[in-house]
Amino acid sequence: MLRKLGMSLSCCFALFSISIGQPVLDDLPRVTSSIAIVNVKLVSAPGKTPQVSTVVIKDGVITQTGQNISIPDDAYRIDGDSLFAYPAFIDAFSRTGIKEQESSGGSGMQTHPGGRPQRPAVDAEGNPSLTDAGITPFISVRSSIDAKDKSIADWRAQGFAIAHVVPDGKMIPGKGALLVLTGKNVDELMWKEDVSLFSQWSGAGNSYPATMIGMMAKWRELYHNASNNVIHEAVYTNATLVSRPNYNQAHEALMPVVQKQMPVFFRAPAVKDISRAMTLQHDLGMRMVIADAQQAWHMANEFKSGSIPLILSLDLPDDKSESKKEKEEKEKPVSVPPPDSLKTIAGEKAVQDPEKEAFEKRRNESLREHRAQAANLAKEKIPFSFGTRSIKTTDFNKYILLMIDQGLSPDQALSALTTQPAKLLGIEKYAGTIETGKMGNIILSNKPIFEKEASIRFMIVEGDLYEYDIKEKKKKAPKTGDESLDVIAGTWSYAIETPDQKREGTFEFKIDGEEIAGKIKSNDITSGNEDLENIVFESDDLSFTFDFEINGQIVELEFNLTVKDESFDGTVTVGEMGTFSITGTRIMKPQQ
Amino acid sequence: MMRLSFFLFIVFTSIHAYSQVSKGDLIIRNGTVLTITKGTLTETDILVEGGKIKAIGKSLKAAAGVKEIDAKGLYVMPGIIDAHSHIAIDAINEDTHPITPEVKVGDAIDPFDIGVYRALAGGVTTSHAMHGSANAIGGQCQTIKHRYGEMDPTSFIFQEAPRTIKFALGENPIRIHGEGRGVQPRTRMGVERVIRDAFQQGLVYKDKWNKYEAGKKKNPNLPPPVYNERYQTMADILDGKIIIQCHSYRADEILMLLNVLKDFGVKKITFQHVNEGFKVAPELAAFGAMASVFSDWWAYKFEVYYSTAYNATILTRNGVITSINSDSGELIRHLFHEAAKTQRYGGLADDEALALITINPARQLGIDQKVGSIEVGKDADIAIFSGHPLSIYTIPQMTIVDGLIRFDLKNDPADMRIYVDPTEDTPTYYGQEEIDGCMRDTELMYSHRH
Repeated sequence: MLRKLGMSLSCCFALFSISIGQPVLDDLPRVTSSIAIVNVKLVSAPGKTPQVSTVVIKDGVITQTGQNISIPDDAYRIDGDSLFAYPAFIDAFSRTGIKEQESSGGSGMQTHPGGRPQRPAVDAEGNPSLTDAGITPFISVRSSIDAKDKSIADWRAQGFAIAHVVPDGKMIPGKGALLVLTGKNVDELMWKEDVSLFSQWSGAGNSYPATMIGMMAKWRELYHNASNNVIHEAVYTNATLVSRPNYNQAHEALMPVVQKQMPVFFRAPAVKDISRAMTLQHDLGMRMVIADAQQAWHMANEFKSGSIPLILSLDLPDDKSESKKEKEEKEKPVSVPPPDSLKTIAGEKAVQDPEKEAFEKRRNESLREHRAQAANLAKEKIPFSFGTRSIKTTDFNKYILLMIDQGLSPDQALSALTTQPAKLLGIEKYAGTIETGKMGNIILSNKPIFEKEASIRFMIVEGDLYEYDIKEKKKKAPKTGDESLDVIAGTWSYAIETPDQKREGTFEFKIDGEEIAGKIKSNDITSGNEDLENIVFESDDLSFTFDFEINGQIVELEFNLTVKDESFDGTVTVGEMGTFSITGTRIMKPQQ
Repeated sequence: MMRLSFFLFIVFTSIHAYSQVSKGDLIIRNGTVLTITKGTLTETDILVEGGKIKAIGKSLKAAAGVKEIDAKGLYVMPGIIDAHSHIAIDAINEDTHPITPEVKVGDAIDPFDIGVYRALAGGVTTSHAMHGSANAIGGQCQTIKHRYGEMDPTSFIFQEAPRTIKFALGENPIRIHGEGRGVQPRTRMGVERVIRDAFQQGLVYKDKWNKYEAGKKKNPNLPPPVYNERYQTMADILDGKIIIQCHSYRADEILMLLNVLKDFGVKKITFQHVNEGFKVAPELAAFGAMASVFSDWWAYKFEVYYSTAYNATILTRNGVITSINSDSGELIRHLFHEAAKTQRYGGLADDEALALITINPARQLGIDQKVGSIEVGKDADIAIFSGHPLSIYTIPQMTIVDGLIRFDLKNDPADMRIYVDPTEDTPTYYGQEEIDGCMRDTELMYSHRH
């Protein structure tokens, strides 16, 4: 997808053996540090109408914008005639760049499949170490960033240039940082460290604090002691005959929060999470940002004054009813009627239960409310930013479009991804719009950015250029014997490498027109459900999910495979337990 | 009337952080009024203004436009109070330590719990949401009003109610901590030990801060001691700021705790369950301790075998202020049946039986000046029944909290959920509830309840 400009450019500028964009060889300098986007339809900020302009970037900074400006001789020119330019997105609440394995453990405690973490030593349960308690405000997210992590390129490809990243963990995982999404190593990515403290309602399993009530009490105590520390430290500095303050790593790290120099980004998806975080804010008085909100419309009034900034999650609930109905309809002709259903045996259409219908109606209404969250808050004139922390890159576009369907204007969406997060993060002087003096962060797309057919052609992140192929849309009309889908039809054996053992089984894919149906069979699966869901096959990439039941809990397995001829390899992500590698081969093709 | 459009309306009007409680005006006409404390009045009106009872009498005048409820032929009683429940909270046991007085279930109120509406449908307007019994000293409890329909958790808080805290004796803390984790308490002796230790720590802590406050006057640069939410709460109990609510069954352990409290000078206590209370009723009365019991529920584990349905009567006749509680999302819907059982087992008078679920639990929770009877000046928390509430044939018709109708048998829609999860499967019935009870959040380790 992402093509390094190296090859094509060494042809264009035969004189130079090096390239702009991401250098092919890490230690070689770029050809030029100037880019000129000529006669592009420029949307310089949310709310602005597109105007044909030229933008010049030098050394990572926008140096000129407008018409009839002189283009520097050394600038790499991009012909903007068919392109739209937008300020690149800023992710207000993110885990971009965090090493994948970090997501499984957190504090190094082992987890039972689907259960509570395994218990630490007995004495430590009621009075655990700060790490086991999940209280690590002294940790910087920097230590878990990997400059080569796939998520950086993936989110950049979706239009993001800057991300506010917070670490994984439990109740207080640590401090967040601002990353610029281009660079070979962490230092190049890192813009500002320790810009925020991250907290969430995530208990320490079998250690204290395990529950909501424990976490609330612990937060109060920590804050109280950090406040005392601030006073004590001041006295110790300014007066004599004072004993040295107690040292506690957590209290020490919370002092900037008490002094209101560092905001607490509180992850609070549900309405009760928000309300409890706000109770803490009300009781203790720290600067707080509510992040990852999925039900904030219930609390709209709280955000009107703007004293508690709001970051909405881009996540949306799945529409269960539609996918269920489709499945049911598909299964109808072949399914054997259950023996107790007399009506179906008689061949009559089952009469809809009015009570069930009423339930369904309310559920759909709730689904619509979730999708309309951003639109409704915008209508109430409540400022908000978007954060990607709880979604997959592949869902970003889909969910934004669903929100726009519910009345969010493209301008409002753009501001929640540019100027609003810039303001929230205190970087509006440097980023969020396309203006002289701002960081050279620009999206170039083939159509207005939030149109359904739009796709990103170039990303410029602090002057680094990335080019993308336009994905060819799959044609709607199914061809008979569609070759691309036949590639996966049939039965495949698989093997998953987990740390303790190899897990094996088979997948079976059936192709019906454009539809792919899949089943999984394995001795590990005892729940009776064998259906694979969300099956997507594009070029060679096959992805799907499976709801796996462990000890009565559903864990979603997420498969991402690359198919090559008669075999595949890839990864499977097991809920929050980690990602494992998987391989397989086709053992049977469908009979013609 | 609580219709769905009302919910949608409040979505954008609820106000956070100890918001003002919604209150209503109305007049209830011609009911048979069971005041509990002032006898029974026939064909009587109750006038409610601003959520309070303004007047009680015949042919009262109300301002134009005030909602009228015709209670002719119906019975009107004070809203029922449940002194022991676990509805409307998301966390019950912080079971990671035998002593957790610092945690507060009031921090985890769940305004969407359908159990609150079900309790309203049984005439219950106030309940005591308690921490569980996993720990010898559990967390602080929260007295709540059933303001179902409000979105803000803090709006459920009974503002004037004093602080209460859960203690637990016997098998539960022994099983969780002694057997489960290999720490004290492993026996009933151990339970006494950890409680005494906690009080002692509270004394030491209090002393440390007293010395600091005194010393600061002479030396403003004196550094403060480390703040400890746990021992601060123990100090508050010692100072009489918190009422102890102690899960207990056996007579010996009840006497043990009374001795501990005497040693530390703590006076305010209500024993919960207290199945062997009938054996030590005079001792409880002499101490001034109160008792909140089940009507006829026992034998669900070894320490609860020696019990009697006459418990409530014996305690009452010995001068112990007694209530009957539910400790269950199911029993809470018919506490009036539970109270009626004391007429079969012990022959309590109507007002005595009804006091067990109204004014007596109000006394135990320290809210008897506000609720628990129908008197001028009290909160307009009222339940209206088709027949006498102690009749097995009675059906709750309407429940009023602060002058607002929160349950209306005739007019409420069938589906009273507030938040609907868009990803849930269509239920066969809604609100399939988690297990309510003392031991919730610990069930992965041990499955006993209560």
